[in-house]
Amino acid sequence: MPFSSLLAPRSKTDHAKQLRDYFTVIENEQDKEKKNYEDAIKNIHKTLLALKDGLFGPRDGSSEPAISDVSQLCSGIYTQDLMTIMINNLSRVTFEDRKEIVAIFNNLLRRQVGTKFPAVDHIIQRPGILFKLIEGYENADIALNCGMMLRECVRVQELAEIILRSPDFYKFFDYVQKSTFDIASDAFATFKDLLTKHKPLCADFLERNYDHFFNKYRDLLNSENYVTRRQSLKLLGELLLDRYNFSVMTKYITNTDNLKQQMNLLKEKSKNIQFEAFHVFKIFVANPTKPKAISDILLRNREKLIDFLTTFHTDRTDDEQFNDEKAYLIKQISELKDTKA
Amino acid sequence: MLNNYDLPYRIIDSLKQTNSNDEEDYDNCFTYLTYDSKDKNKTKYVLKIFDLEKMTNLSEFIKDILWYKQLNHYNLMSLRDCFLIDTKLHLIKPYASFGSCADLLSVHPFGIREQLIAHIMWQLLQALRYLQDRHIMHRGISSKNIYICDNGRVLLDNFSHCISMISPFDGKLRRQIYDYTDSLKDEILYLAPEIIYQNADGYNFKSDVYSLGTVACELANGSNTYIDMPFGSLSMLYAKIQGSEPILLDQTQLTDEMIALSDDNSSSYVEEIKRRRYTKEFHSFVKNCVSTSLESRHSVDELIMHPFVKHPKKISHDSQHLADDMAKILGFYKAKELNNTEANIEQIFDNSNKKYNSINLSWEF
Repeated sequence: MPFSSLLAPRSKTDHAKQLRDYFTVIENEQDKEKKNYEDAIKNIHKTLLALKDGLFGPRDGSSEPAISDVSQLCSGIYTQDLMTIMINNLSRVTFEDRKEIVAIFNNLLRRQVGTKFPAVDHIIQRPGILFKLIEGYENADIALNCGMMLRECVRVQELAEIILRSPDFYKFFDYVQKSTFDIASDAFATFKDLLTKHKPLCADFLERNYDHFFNKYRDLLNSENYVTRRQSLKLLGELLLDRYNFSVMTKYITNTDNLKQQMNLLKEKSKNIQFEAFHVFKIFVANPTKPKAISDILLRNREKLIDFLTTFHTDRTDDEQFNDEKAYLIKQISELKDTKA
Repeated sequence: MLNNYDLPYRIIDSLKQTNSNDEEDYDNCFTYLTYDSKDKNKTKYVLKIFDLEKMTNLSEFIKDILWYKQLNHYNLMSLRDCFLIDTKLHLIKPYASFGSCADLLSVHPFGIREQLIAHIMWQLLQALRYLQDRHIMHRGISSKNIYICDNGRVLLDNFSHCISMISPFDGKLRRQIYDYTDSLKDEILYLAPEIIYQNADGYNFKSDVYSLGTVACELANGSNTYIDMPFGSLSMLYAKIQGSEPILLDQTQLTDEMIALSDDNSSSYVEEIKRRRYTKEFHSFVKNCVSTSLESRHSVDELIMHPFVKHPKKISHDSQHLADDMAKILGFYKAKELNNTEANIEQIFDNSNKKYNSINLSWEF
């Protein structure tokens, strides 16, 4: 190596190139025994830190990074396709380095150049990144890291749309029921973001995929897992009462199976679940144009429902809205007319 | 009922820790001493059982738990296991046999030894440096959240006030933050003046350093500087805004006024203060931590180099002291022990099962 090249300052793009090379070493699993695998892991740590400092500025926050340096660094990351490489190797790097990758990834996504978000465009070209991240929920070591990156992606409508339009979205119905509490909770947070962050997009998605989605959703409401049941019921209430989802709501409340499920949830042992079920059940009753099948069920249970609602959560005295709604439901149900008579 | 209760951990005893604010925040938390039933060494762990059914805000609580999963440091409390049985969330954490610093103070009402404080501070600084390197502010450093294991390891717990310096709005690293969440008032006695001001300057990592300094003072003096003030938090706020800084109470700081004001209750404390003298390194360390002006307050990196913590005398040198402390603490727990643990556990599970029986009602479909 010529002496002059040793003295020359390393250009920023070098980090991306170096990282790519190190990742190639660890991708080759057979090398695992060898010393250069360990060296590569060490070097990845150093280079990731350098990369992060380049993007965020020094750790003590004393100065902003220079814009020209940052853009040089970023273009290096895109030309080396480093985002894909980092996500693919997430499970191979150390615990701490995974978090560095998350920080770098999330920072790239937020970076705006003019009116464009280069990282978003980059991912749109490579939607595989998103599916790899979703798949991450299957590996406990990286599930939470992937979750953090996914939620960052979901903030962007175009990226959320890619996920909603793909069959991979339905994987979340399994992930949110995982037995590992923290992973299931994290997956639910992402699932909820996907369904609530971009209202018109979500409404369109729910209308198009109504049957498939609500078939799956019914299983969540019947889940063995208390937290899944409670959270998904709460989310259902939020979705149905959102004005963007009006046509989905009107469809939902004409289905007798849905009504039966909510009535069963009303008498669940858990007070919280009862309460959330109440907020879905009330829509069925308040519907001014109830289909006959729905009003028949309500009619058949009229006395029981009135008794039940009269003693329902009487301790919530300070919740005025709830008490008004309850009184309204009791009135509606008692005024139901038997159409056969 | 215990037989049906399929727990991979064996419960040894129930635990009740003083001032541990978990119980205050979530009064439906039960704490037990356990070991993994598959573990031959019977390493002790703490099992905390939270009834989620009694918690209205599930997502906030889940966020706290996810913090544990993102942090991994020798001096930070970890979560060994976390699982759900029916509506009850079970958390398994390492067992700190010395309890929290607040426990330590309840058996040492006049304060603990300087070497031990140096030892605790050194380890906490390591934890803080780890957090700071990851752009995380703890914001909840208080004597209740610092635990000590029997091998001298210090653990910082409670990440519910943690916040990342990376902005959730533009993804940039912030120099100051302006988050004045209501829940911060939980630790109001330890909050730095700049957080209390809530002004346009915001606050940063140095606010954690301030809290650390107040803990050091508390450990030396026996109680928080701002506790029991005549008008409660209001006096504390006024004092902090006036620029009052906590100090170490020893013979150098004792004023005639304090001697004159001492009554029968406090005379023994004044005697103790007259007798003791903290090193100038300790005085300077505290001063550097709790300085109201941010310029003269040291950063975590500077404090790690401070002579007070840099050359602490080895704790193991006075193992007799440690054993004495241990005996005192054990006696203290014994006095507080709940009467019949086994019956107690039975009762808790029994109650809960009764309470959640499904409503006896069937709909006509």
